[in-house]
Amino acid sequence: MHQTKSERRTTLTESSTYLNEAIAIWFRDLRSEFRTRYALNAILMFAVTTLIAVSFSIGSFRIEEAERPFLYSVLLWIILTFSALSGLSRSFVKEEEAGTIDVLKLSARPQAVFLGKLLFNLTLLGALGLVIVPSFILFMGYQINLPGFFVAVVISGGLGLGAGTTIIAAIISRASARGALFSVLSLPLLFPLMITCMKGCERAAIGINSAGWPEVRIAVAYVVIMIILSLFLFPLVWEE
Amino acid sequence: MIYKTLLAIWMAVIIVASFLFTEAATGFPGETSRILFFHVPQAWVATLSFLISMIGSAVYLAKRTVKADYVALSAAELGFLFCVLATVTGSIFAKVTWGSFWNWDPRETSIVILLMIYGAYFALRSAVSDPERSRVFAGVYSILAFVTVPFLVFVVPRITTSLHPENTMNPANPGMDPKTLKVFLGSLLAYTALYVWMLRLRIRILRLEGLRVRDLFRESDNK
Amino acid sequence: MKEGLGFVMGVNLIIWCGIAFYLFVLDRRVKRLEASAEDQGKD
Repeated sequence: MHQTKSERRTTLTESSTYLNEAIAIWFRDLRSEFRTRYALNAILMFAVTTLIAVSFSIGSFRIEEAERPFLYSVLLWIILTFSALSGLSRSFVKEEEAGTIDVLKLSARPQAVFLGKLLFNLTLLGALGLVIVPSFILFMGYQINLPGFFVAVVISGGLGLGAGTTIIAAIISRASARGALFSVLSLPLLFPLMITCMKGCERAAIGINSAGWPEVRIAVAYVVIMIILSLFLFPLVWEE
Repeated sequence: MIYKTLLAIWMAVIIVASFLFTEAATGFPGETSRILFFHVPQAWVATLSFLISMIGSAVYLAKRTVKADYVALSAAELGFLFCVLATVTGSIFAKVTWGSFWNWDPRETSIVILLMIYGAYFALRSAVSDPERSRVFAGVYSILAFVTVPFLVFVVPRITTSLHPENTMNPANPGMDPKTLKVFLGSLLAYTALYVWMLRLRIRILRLEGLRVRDLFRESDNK
Repeated sequence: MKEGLGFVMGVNLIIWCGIAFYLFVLDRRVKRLEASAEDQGKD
């Protein structure tokens, strides 16, 4: 009786530890980030300064009304993508710099590490989106006719940014010339996602409601495929 | 040796045939449609090379045999070369036919992404000093990149319409002139054979370089 | 035959001959190096 109970407990913990470990890593990163606010500051300041530069030079009335939905969505996604690229690599680079990478290797399984870092990056992206998207809309006078569709595109696109770049961050943390390499490696992978989200935001702004939100579907498919692939490939990178 | 000589003659025959045997397709300025016999096989080889590089990477990650990585790296290098060739020839044709060197037609977009991926791949390889680690990372990146490319196939045609001539120039369509089709298929064969030759040469050179590095290490160990 | 077609064809053929010649030479050199590398391996 005792035997079976403990056995059952181990299988239970087996299935739930991946998530537990991932969440533990996520909280640990959040705590250390809260102390230093390094990555968040880098990302937010990059985004805010870019937004100010764009808003100052273009203003809310410089672009003709018919062109606005498309050009504004392009600008928004360029700001979001490049801000994300400016800070997301921190999640792994900081482990490498602090020398905590071996401890992390011993204390958690690779997939859990990946999920934890992914959650952390997604948190950063969430903060970025919460600050930048509303202020972009305010500063630029961006008129959006389908807010629900717009929000869905932004959220799925943000998930895609996180899903596509987390494993790249792990790769570049072991290479030289990290900062430049992160953007160089990430952009080709993010390109299809960026085009999709730009198109989606444009349609949401104009107000073309097509059944099933195809842009959101493409972005979600991208997220799912990137996460599954990363779960397979990450252990190879991590153990190298 | 015999095959290589045959290939040299075959390619020369294709070049002559593509100018003398076939008629220029109608609907294009002057004789420009003859680009079909050179540009399309180059693009085909570039795509094939991308696939081979991905397979080589996957085999390397699964089995960790250095030869698989040589295949992946050589295919990436040659794929890059053929990508550039296809881009340049296509761009010249675009200038003559559509009026500008670059139009962001879907295939132009996807070939730019392919060039970006190859560039990133080489940057990654040179940024990691440990050879084995560099192979693993390059392999992982190659697979990631390969998986995102199909998204372009879905995404890009929704954004822009294609300028590429599909009816008279696509061999899958019945609109193609039979003579043109024969020379085109011959050219495809010639380019693929040339590619295989170049790929094997590059793999052998990489292997020789690997042997030399190993010998150097052995010598320094002996000292 | 149209004006200029023969010229372009000639240029093409010359380029191809150059590439083929280079590849043949390279092939021979690689073969020789491989032979010497195998000899070294036997030592």
